[in-house]
Amino acid sequence: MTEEDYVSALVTFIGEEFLQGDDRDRLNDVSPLMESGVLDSLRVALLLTYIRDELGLYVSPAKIDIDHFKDIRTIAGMLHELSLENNAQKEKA
Amino acid sequence: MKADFDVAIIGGGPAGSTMASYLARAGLSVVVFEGETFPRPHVGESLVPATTPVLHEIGALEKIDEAGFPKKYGASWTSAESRDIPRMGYSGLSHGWTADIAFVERDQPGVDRDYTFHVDRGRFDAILLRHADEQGATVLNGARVLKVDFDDPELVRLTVRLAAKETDYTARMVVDASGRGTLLGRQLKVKVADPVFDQYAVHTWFEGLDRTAIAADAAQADHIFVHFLPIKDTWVWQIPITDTITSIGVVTQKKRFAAAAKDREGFFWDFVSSRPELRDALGNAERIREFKAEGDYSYAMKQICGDRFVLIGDAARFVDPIFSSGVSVALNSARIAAQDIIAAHEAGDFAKKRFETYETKLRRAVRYWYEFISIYYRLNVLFTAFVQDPRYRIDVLKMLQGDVYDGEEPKALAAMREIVAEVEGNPGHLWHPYLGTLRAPASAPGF
Ligand SMILES: Cc1cc2nc3c(=O)[nH]c(=O)nc-3n(C[C@H](O)[C@H](O)[C@H](O)COP(=O)(O)OP(=O)(O)OC[C@H]3O[C@@H](n4cnc5c(N)ncnc54)[C@H](O)[C@@H]3O)c2cc1C
Repeated sequence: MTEEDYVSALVTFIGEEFLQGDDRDRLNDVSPLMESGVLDSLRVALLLTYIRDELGLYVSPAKIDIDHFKDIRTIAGMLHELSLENNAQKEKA
Repeated sequence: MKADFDVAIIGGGPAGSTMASYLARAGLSVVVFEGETFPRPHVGESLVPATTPVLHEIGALEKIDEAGFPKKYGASWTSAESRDIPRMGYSGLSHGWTADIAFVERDQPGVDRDYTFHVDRGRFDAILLRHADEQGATVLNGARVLKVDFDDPELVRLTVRLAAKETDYTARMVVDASGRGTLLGRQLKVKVADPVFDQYAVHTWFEGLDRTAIAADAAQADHIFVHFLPIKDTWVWQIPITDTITSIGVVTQKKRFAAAAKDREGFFWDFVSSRPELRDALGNAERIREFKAEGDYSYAMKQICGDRFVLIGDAARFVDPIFSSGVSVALNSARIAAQDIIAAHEAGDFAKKRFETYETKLRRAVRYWYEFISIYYRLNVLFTAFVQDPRYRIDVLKMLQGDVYDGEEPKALAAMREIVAEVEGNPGHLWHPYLGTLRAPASAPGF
């Protein structure tokens, strides 16, 4: 998956799970997730479950801070990097 | 001088009666002094599967099976994350969330079934004590031990109040299974209050509670439910006692109860009301027992054995009921200590060093429990995240099954410990604001 694929997967998931109406329509890759309160601790846990089960990536719970989760673009970048690391490891093995 | 018995046991709860069964079956002469007259009500109604091999070994499992207690297939946690998120039109949004595990997901050594039981402790404890009697132990109800005299190096002398009379009994050694009465711990001044926890609970029974109404999935209505309240460090248990009776308890820190400045009933409803769907379901049911309070139960002992004595069950240690570990620790501490006592009896020597295996094993198991409980209170969202994470789920389940007496440290513990440290050290971490106020010192208590 490319970074853009992750962006659109996350926009869909976060929009459908945590937002309604106008807020859902307005959500994009740079909408602030933290200060706006779209993500709280439990929702981050739900999001991690989604990332793990549907996107097949493990984000360490140690990493879930305001820098790594500030908007969808940042999360997607991190996921993309993770997937590249995984592929590199698979090739080595 | 010849002693009246080989071993005298103080208390006929699950720890004492299990010990009595093991020793009597091995041919020792045993007496159990129980201060109350059974059956008597008792808190601690939800078992974990680590009780099964012990009940099987003492030959009591069939009797427990026949008693028809509700089967417990797993555990569920519910939460209503309702911390207000006032911006963007979300105020008051409550996003229900549950996690659950079923025992069937992990095979457990010595356990032949995928369930354990929820029990009415009045009946459960009475069955086990009668069983001890049938195995050949002498069981005295209404016999309260007042003190134990260790002056004679060859025996112990117990002063017992029985039918308003004080009588002395002698034995080669004594096992303290007096529960939170902690008779020997207090007498020997080895009891220490826990440095972190000072927990408090108010509980009762309800008739006609619609358990499926609060379960995410009706098939889980026979689980124990732990309902997180939005109040820090506070939760509610929901335990099926019969088809229609449900035990409900609120657990919090004692200081929160004190701050609420309410009576038990006021406190209970006040706290439960923080989860409206729970309050409503309870409001539609009928309370059939008085509210009962439990406090001062978070402690350890500087010593759990010595010359001619061993402490087991709650008499050795208790911290907090969050993982339903109490009865399992009672039964397994009796199992492990009984092996040492039988060997000591064969050797004709009841000195402290005879009980070293027990001391080592119990302390290690209890240390895991303690850290697991501490982490839970420090960051319970982490606990639920681990339950949901396939890499750690089975390891967490192992702890929840009570399978902690043999083998390595559960690897989930080390992983949880690391993440807690990360969250504590990083104010930008999303879970940082959710750190509970209970913080175990870096050097967990050495007892
Ligand atoms: C709020 C709360 C909730 C809990 N929930 C659970 C749960 O869901 N599941 C679970 O497994 N555990 C639970 N526990 C823990 C559980 O209650 C105990 O761990 C368990 O009962 C310990 O068994 P025991 O035999 O050591 O002590 P007890 O069951 O307390 O038995 C001790 C016996 O000794 C007798 N005794 C005391 N002093 C004397 C004396 N001087 N002379 C003679 N007899 C005496 C008492 O009458 C009593 O019958 C909970 C505890 C609390 C506080």
